[in-house]
Amino acid sequence: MVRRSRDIMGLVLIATSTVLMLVALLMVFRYAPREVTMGEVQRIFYFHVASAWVGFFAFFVTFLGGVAYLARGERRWDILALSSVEVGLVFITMAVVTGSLWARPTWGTYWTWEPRLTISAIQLLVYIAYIMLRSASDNPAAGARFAAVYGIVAFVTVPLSWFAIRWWRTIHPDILTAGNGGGMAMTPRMVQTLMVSLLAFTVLYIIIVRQRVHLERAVDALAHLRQRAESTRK
Amino acid sequence: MSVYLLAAYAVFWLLPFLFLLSMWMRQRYLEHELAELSAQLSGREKAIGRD
Repeated sequence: MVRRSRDIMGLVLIATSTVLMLVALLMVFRYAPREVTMGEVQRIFYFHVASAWVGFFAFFVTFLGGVAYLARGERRWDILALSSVEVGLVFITMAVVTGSLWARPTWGTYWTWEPRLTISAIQLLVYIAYIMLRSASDNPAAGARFAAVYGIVAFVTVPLSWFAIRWWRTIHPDILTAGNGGGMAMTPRMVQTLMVSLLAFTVLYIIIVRQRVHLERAVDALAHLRQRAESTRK
Repeated sequence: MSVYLLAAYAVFWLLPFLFLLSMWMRQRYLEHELAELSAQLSGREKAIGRD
């Protein structure tokens, strides 16, 4: 019964995500107006911001999972934290790569060591280290505790990245200060397109994390069966 | 259409696709291992019961 309702929930999420993605794509290429100074390449911005948002959100979920694991010691919170890091890394990598593709025609270079980009690079490395350190641990309980603390501390890179464009001199555009000379001026159609893209990516994140959690549970089930097999051998 | 725009949208589809593909492959391997171990275990437990 529980499994069946989970399957239905999964199907509903996949259908919602497909519709939202198609609508977002249509809005990006047909509804949103062409930006005056950047031209066509500005259309990268909608999915670039959405993937960065999902990356930040995923690391926030890891932070919450870490706190819950330390408070309750339940494996499900550790699984959620680990799954969210992996998915977050995929989306942050997408944001960094597509940001570079946008930067080349706009700034004339794929990469520059300005604050936002530097913090994004550090953030990527910090969370790659999370995965590497976890897989290097021999003691699962100690590894999970360490990962929980690491996930909480590593989350500092998210507000740092968010505020980097406000605290330091940077050439990265700030969509929140648009109209005050600090960013790209967005028309209502652009804002609506961005909102739909954010929603589409958030639903996609939920689908992928659910699947990743399911995978980690299968890993646990296999480890449990292996233990049983060992004990029957003795 | 700009080549950078095309490349960016290719990345938007390619990266999640590769991640999902790797998850699907891991899932298939795990399910295969689980089925094999379960069969082995039930056979062994039946044999222990007979003894």
